Amino acid sequence: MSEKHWKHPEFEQGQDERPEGVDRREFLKLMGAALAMASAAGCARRPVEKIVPYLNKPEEVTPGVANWYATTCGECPAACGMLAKVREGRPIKLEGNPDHPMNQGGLCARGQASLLNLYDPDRLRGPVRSPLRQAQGTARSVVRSPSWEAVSWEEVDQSMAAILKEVKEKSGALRLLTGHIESPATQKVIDEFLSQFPNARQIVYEPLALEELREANRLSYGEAFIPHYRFDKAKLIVSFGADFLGTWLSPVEFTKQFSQRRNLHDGMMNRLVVFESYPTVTGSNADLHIPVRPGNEIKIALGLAGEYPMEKAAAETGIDLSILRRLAADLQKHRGESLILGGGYSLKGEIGVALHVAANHLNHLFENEGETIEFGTPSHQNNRATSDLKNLIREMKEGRVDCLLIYKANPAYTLPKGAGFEEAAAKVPHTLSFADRVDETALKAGWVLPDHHYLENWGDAEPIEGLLSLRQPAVAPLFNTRAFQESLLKWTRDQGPGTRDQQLWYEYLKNYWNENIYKKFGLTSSFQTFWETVLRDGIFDSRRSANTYSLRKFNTNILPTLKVPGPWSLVPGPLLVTYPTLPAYDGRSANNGWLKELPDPVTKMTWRNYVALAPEKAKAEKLKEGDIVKLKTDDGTTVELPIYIQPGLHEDVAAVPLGFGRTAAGQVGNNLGANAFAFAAPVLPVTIEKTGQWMKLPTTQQHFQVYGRPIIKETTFAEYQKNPKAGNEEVIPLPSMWSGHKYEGHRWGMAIDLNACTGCSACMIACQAENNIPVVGEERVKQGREMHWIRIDRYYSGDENNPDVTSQPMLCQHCENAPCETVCPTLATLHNEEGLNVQVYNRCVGTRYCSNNCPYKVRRFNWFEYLWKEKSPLAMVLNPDVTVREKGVMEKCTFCVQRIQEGKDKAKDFGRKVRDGEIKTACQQSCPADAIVFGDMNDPESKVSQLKKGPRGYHVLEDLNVGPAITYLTKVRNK
Amino acid sequence: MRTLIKLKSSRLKTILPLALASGLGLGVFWFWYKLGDNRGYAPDQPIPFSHELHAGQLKIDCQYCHAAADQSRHATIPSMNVCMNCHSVVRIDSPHIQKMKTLIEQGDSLEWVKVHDVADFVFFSHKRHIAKGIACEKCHGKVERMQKVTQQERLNMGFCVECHRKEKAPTSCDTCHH
Repeated sequence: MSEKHWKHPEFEQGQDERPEGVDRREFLKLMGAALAMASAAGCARRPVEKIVPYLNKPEEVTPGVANWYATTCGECPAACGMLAKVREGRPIKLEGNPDHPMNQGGLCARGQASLLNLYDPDRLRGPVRSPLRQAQGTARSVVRSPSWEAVSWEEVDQSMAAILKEVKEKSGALRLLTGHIESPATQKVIDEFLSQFPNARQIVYEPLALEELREANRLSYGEAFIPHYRFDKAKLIVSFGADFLGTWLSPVEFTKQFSQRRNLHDGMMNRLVVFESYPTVTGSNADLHIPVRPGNEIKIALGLAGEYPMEKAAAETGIDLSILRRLAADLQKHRGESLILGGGYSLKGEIGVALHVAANHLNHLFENEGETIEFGTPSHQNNRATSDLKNLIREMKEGRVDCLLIYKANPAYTLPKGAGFEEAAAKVPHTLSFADRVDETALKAGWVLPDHHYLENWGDAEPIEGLLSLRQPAVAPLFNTRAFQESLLKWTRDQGPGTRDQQLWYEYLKNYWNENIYKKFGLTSSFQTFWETVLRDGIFDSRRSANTYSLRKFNTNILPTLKVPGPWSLVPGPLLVTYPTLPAYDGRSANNGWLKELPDPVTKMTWRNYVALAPEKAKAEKLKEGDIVKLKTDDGTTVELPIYIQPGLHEDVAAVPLGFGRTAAGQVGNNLGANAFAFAAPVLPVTIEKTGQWMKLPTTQQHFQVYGRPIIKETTFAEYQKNPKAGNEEVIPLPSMWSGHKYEGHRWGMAIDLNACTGCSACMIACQAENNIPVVGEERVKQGREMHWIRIDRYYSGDENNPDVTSQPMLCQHCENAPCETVCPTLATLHNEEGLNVQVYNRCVGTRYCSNNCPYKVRRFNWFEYLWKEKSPLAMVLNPDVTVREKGVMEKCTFCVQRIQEGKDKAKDFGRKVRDGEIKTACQQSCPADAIVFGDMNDPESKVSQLKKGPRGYHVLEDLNVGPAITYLTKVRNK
Repeated sequence: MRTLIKLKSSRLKTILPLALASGLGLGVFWFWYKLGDNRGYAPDQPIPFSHELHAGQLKIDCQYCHAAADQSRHATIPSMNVCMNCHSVVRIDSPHIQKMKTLIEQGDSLEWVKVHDVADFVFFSHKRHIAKGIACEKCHGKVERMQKVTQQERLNMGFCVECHRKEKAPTSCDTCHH
């Protein structure tokens, strides 16, 4: 997907070669001939197009009309409800299910981009086998040939029957290594499969697991579980590093809840205080952001709880005592309506557990249990992990494992170098992987039996206890893949070859829902009706009948046993922190061009990872942005990465994103950046050595200061309460030499609430999927040629070393007096009668004058033909309602004009007017924070008109008097 | 080298180049004018389906076969089972019907050649036009009299806009181009 795979090889390689095709002289000659031919032939059509009708058209399919299927996202363990838009049998867009109580229509960038994984050209087309041969000398060690041979599923089943029989007969050890299993039915399939063997076990391994939280809850409440958090009930949130708006547990749900108390609709606003050691989305939205050295969080938490002297905590962490005192008083004031969260994924081990226990204690002290933390409906969105895996690797090394099956896990990539998974895997006689490609782990396996993409498969999920959702296929399997569950069922129920029943898993799932859900709730309708209802809605929420509240008693005896300092927190000097970012997460979708080119919401870096350093630290070390350094830990692990300077980081922290440096992800994701999982732990003492090399970083934004220009308008909540117009008082006289446009029907406009926007970038992927926006590749991003129609600009204000952050979605402003329109020599961009600034691709000759004249820099130019058709089946992701642009054409946000047309079309069908809120742009639809409102500004009752008139509304660069149709609402900080 | 034809009168000396130049000019004009004009285009179809017979003599409604015309952007070509609704009993001895039957048994479809083809960057909605009550023949001509379907109208932007102006339909670019 990157440009190197997309772009037609133009002038770069072999510039001296004559390009293929026709040169000017030849063109003239041919022109002459064509003239003669055309006169003779009359009407020779070019090209001849064929229409191939269905053999038997499925009843529900109408070519040109989209079908929507409710299903469940499978990208991360959060398992949000989702709607898949399917055109002519192929999914082209994923949206959040508005009826799902968790994500309520929102869907994160990764969830939406997982669509592209379906059409990934690097997916395996069918099962493959690596021929085994015994290595000389060591009898048990197996060396595998790198060549893979395609096999049929019949052969797989035959061989598996033999292998499983052998394992069973000699009571051999069978191990199933899986990632997080969100599906209760799948878990039952696994249990049944394993129960036929005398010595079989499942090991769950998720590289980003909240093991410490579960352990802390076991210590605090007697049971290892994760409660359900209610950010919508919390007026004061204190996070010690949990990135709940970006990557932690259930970010879309939490963003929905959080923004409800952030949009100032009822004049109230929550307060977010973040103590953190690495740059997160949550931290950049904090009202009070305090960088801490990893390991010091516990002192602050215990200090707030009165278990540690607050003066000492302040002195040791370098935080102003008055800040802590005020926070403690605030917590007292908000008893029962605050929420305290422990550390994120990077704080592992005893200190991580201790921090979560301290957070539990704080929640107990301030009576949040049962209020902002619900125990009755625990979250199932994260599983325990790694300690089991260590046992497994030991067993494997000792040659005690006979058969290893790996599903949804990639330990060869996500385990530290020292874990020795690869050597251990070589000692297992039979290794099977269910990966969709030959990934790092599958390379060590004898068989790779590709599982369906989740959009091709049946399934279910129970993200929160009692909240069940179904997954249904949105497309027939593209390749010769088979569901993991189907394979296990086949090997459980009939071990012999012969009957090949694709329906096993479907029937099993249906039966599971009948036995375990339908019958349990004693519903009056028939099972078939129930099943069809759940299929249509996507969810079955049984929490209403369940007990939603049960009090758990915090065990205060645990407090004195907490070990405050971690082993590394006492070592002076820089600490390496590896952390997940929103676009990369744990690197599972590394071959996804959309995600690779999605700028990190905090750092704005694309394509590769880096070492983030605080500005003062970089200055002290005489390092500048792009300098390549060598990170070295005590165990000798080294990684070379460029420096990225990130204000807001603690001085002692060198933060490195996870999920990069894959070596077997595919042609897009291989060898980009370095693998930060290679380090033995997420936090370690590190030395930083210069290498003397430098590279230009692929960032999409180079400077972050507003320099006093009217781009961002901000105020504090205290000021806002006194005067809602605070920060927006300035009135700019706007004389105009234009006569203005007349709008008789609609006049489309948008309002964007900067206070609700968290910068999560879901809108960027929504826009990319909706509008067929190409991926340009790392080199082009460095040249500033990325194609995103909507981008999130991030601005800093206040303290240079720990600034306040504002995220601002920036897209075409559809100006009233658009500067682009007046300079276009071909009238390719012009104003329509509904206030849209439209771009007519056919007229565009690519002068780029418009882009040059645009004060918002939102116009994008096709420097190349980003050939979608080059890599099959990628072109299937294209939205047939949007033109695919050619080389030499300018493009930009259209306010999703195809959606406007669709909305108007629907209204016309019913003979009524378009209702307010009926037409939603792609960015608006996907926004988990509901920060974007689109509508008719000619309708005084519409939401967008109301917001536009409100005290917080302003236009970016208003003094230019271009009259943007987008109104931004001031950023209000609850300082 | 001497000229082969000696021009006798000086008048002819000026007229001839002028005539040649204007002829060439007209040729170029005609070439550009005809470019994309596909009126009269009547490609051979895989089987000689006659609209004259089906729509004209038998008076089968257009939307019996082009079923999605009032629901979708596309009018759609009937799926093979629609043909077989009648042809499993009607004219089963015809070699064309037999050809179709064989294809169906193989799991294949006929590959019809598109006759009326607006440019790729135009989003034309059959549904909207039918809802407005615009007759099919307005764009497609008298199909019920065509043995072999032939393009009657230019179906270019001028053709669309002319009607849109007359009917006071929207003429904003984004109505059709997005």
